[in-house]
Amino acid sequence: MRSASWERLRSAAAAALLLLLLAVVAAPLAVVVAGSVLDPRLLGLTSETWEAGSRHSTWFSYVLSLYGRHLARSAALALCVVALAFLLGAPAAYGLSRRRDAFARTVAVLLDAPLAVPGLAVAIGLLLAYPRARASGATLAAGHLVYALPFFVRAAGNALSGGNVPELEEAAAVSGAGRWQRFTRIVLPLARPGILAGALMAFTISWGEFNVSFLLSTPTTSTFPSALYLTYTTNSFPVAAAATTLFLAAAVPALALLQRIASPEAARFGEAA
Amino acid sequence: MSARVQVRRLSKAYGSRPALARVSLTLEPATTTTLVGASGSGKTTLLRCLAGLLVPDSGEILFDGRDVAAVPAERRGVGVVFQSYALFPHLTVADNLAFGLDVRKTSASDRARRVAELADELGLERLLDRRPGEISGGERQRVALGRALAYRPVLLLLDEPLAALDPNLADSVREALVRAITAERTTVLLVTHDRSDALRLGDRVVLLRAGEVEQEGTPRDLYRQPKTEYAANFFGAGALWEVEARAEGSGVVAETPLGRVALPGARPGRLRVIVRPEALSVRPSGGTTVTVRGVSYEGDRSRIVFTAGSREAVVYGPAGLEAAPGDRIGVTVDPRLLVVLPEEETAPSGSVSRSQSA
Repeated sequence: MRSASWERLRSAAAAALLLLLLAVVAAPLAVVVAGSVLDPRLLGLTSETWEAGSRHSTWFSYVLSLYGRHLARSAALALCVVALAFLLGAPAAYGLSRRRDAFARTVAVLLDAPLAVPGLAVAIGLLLAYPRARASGATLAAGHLVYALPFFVRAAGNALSGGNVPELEEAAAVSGAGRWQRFTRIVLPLARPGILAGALMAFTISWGEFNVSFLLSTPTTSTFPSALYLTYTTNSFPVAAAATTLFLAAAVPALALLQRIASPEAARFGEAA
Repeated sequence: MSARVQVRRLSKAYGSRPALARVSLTLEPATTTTLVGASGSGKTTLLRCLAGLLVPDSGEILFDGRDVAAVPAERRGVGVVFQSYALFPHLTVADNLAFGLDVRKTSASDRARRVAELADELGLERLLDRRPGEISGGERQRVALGRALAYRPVLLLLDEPLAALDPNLADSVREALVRAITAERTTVLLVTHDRSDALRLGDRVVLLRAGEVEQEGTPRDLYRQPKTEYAANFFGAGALWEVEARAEGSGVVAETPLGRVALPGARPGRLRVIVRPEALSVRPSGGTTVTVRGVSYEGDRSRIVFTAGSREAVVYGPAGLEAAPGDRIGVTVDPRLLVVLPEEETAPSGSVSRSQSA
């Protein structure tokens, strides 16, 4: 009897602790989101008032008019990074899942290496190596790709090596499937959850990347996170809060979707091997 | 539909390690051949060469007289049941069964008919909509068999089909396997490391040792008339006696550690005889008196190790037999169950050393 009530007490305490942690993490975000929709005076920011008769009825439309171009640019850049990650990462993941030798391990380590290098160093390296590419935004895309690619390759690679794909391809071959049929009927369906997960990761990484972007962007290629930083340093709090809320509105659904794809599919394929 | 498969002097090495050395054998149409050997003897290598998944270094594989060296796996028309089954996890049981038909663009009505037929034959009717992750090990094995049979292969290869199943399940799966194979009447090569599976599932048995064919023949041939000491011990281990056989009257008689024994059909001279436990029996009285060295209780019988003369041998005693080390018991020999090896084995030719068999 005692142990049962003790268990209940323990799980209640754990739940309370978890809620507290969540509150600590979520509180700043909640303040920001609240700041974007509520009257600033309600949050005690009495110095912030909204000029009456402005042509903007909410902070959001103001932020959109200020940073619409940055938002579009960030979205386009993120999609571009996803496409590049797929084109480079999918074959790499397939290759790495097929070879388990020293060469494959070396490539895998090198692929992960940029994650351990500060964004500052990566950005300066890219600037020194390709000074002319900066204006076009190519350097920026490359900087994002360096961070997104390892995550993409890992996600796609897990899907390809988890279900014992090489043997399944052999089984398909002896059953009469040619190279193209093996790819479309076996490899691609098995890799799809991994590729989707990798693509979403690449998108969220590019969408939220600040270090490299801040250093590599030019006035014409500046991304939304850089703009967000400038808003906080130069503009009023409600404007920055509204901008942050817009930023989260894209990132949170992407992360939620990622969570959904990653778990059930992985469990299903893992079991069937 | 079933092919006559000939393998001629097939060799394959992984780096400097030979896996197959000049293997030759023939699989007759619509018969089941079991390929048996210790692990590392080259069984799976031979199977993969036949399937087209591995390119041999030299030698030929002929399907009905046609060399298939240049034919890729997908156009050989061979069915393979992989040891791990290798079912497609993203497809239902029905789609797994029909995979070979789908890639061949079989008509929908033929596909439906064949899937229904296989599901009935293999008892999979209720599972057609499930995925491989949602069915049991025995059920997966049947799906793997059905997938390999669906497109009526000219040759069916099975790689250790019973190894992954728990022993209680293996009995019923073995029966289902034999039924399905018999119904399809195709040429079958079944790889196994299990001696008794090799003997009971094959019309013919091929024993592989370190990449070479040690002996092939009917199950009875391999068990009763092994040509080498290795083959004799592989299928049923026993003690080795070296005896001097003499002609006596119309027969041949040898002096053995268990007394004078008639050796029907043997020729006089120096002989090597394998004495398996089933050739011996424990007698309450009579027989040759021997000394018990060790007894292990096996439930329905006792395994008794004894010495006669200076030789050790094994005999199985009935369940009720009480014996302890040091006891003296009587043992008799049934000469018909002794295995007389042919004269000295010829020394192995070529470079593959026999001693490296794993």
